[in-house]
Amino acid sequence: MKFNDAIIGVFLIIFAIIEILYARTFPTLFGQQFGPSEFPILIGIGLAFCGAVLIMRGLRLRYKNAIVGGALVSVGEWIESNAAITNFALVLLSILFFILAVDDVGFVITSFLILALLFKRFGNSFATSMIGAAIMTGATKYLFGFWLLVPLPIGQFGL
Amino acid sequence: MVDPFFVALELVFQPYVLLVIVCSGAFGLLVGSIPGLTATMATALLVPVTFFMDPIPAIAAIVTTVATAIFAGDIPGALLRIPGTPASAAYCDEAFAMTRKGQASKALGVGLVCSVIGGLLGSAVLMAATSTLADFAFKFSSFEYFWLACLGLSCAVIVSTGSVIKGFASLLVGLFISTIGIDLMSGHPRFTFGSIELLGGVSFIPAMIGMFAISEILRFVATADHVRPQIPHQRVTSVFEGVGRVLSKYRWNLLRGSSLGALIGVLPGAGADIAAWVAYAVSKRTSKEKEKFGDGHAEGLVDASAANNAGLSGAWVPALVFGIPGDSVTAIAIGVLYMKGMNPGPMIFLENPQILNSVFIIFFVANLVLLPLGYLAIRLSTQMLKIPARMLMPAILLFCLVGSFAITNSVYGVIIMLVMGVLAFAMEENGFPIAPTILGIVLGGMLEEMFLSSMIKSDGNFLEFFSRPIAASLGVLTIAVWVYPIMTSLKGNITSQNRP
Repeated sequence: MKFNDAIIGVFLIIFAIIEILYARTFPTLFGQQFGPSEFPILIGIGLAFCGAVLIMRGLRLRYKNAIVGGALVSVGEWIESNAAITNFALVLLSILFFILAVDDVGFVITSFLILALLFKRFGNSFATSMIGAAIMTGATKYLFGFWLLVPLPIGQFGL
Repeated sequence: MVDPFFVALELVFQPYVLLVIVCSGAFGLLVGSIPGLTATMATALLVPVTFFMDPIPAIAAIVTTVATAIFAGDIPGALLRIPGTPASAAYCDEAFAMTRKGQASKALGVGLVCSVIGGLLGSAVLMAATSTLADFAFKFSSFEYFWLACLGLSCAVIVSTGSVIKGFASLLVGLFISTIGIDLMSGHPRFTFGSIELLGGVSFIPAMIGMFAISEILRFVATADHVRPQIPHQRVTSVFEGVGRVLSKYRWNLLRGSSLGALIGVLPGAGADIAAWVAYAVSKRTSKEKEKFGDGHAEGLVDASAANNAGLSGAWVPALVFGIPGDSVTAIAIGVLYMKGMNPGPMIFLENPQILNSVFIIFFVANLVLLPLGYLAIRLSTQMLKIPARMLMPAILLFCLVGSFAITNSVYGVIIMLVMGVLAFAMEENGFPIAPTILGIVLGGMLEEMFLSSMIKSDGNFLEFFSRPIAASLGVLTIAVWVYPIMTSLKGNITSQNRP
């Protein structure tokens, strides 16, 4: 999704104001006039400046060209494809599923389910998806779990 | 006392390190030869594994992967007209034109040998330049480091793709992210909102995996038409046939491309991609056979493919001497060095000369190993290009998940990866380059520390930042870097308004 620069500019200014106001609550260094708030405030000022320039640029573009680049929000071609939206959502949901489930269900089951689903969704046959998911899960478990000794969660099923 | 160079030789020429070099070389060739997967992404995927290695094999893995991935980008560029990495984009059409003339082997052979020679010459420049600059760097105080970091970040914004203002905003986003967590000077938590895990800051590796790998996967699923590319029916066999003649004819191009690449690589933010574009443009402009460019002429290929590999070494010069990365990959490498407790900068010359010498040796070995591995990759190229992305992308996603988990040993790393991946995707969709964000995250801590140290030394008087000759020069240069484009733009506006 593409936003007109003016919208991004407004967002940056709002973010900068909140950031500066919050940073001003930080204490100063002992015996000094400055402290941990200085750097974030400078960043906030910079972001606000960028926001202002982007607003001017976005509005100028909108004024100059009402059709191309003039819209406040425009969607990429991929948004018009249901398949692309589903794939996009599936990838994000897979990551969320991993975050929510891996500690309880265990690494092996979680990653097998994610891989099998995505392999199948991206156009592989059912058998290829299952075999591919099993091999990749096993290889990753071996590489990280056994070789690099990463404590991958085993969940309630011990896998 | 044993010379650090011999200690370094002993450290590098160990079976384990050599095995790491060969495996990473193969990995880099595989990733680089797959269109859409960049050398930076290869590094991002590799870092979780290097996290568990000693410093020398870790550096060896990163250097070899990038060197081989940059060359491997030439393979789909020559065979399919799809550059495997952005660094190959400059001469992709030229190489493909050679393939259409039945010279695929020659195009890839010239690319391989020039990459190796460019890489070796770039390594020599790295070795010479770092030693010379190190003496200079010892004179630096926090004022000089502050301005140098500002100058580096400014250059990174100015040369980044797209609009400068968006590059600047991208950098500020990175700097903001670097402020999250406990402030080391005051011990005050910033922007943590009560989260215990955020007290340690935003973990660098998951952030980088998100920005370079997850955003790439999202772009793939959103835009790919999933059509298998048509691989040309051309036997790629006699790889080195005719290469000698080309190199002999264009030996000065080879030298010029390598030198130009190494020099451009030194500029923060520039790196291999820009080095290849500039070298190709210079080659075309100065050629006696300009009309042949674009029609399968090897001259531009010699300049550009030497330049992109030489640029990799150049990017390590500011990284090793000042701790300021030259591009995204060295930013990642610096992050790894910091995590291993080895802070790059002039002190590394005194405290860890053997590590420094090892880096030089690794560069030479990685570029030499590229020759046989690259040859193998060219011979297997038609098979490698058949690997379907529909199998690769889910596998890469799993690697990202596990890699991010492994750094924090909790799903916290995966959450950071997800947030940063979505942020990078949205930024790129709207024309914001992401390399400045990564540089901001890596350099933010150092920049703030130098800023506050200087403020304490000067008792809050900002004019003191210009009180030392080198600091003043760097400060003026930094301001000039910002003022010059603004003045040029204003002058252009006034001229166009005055025109009848």
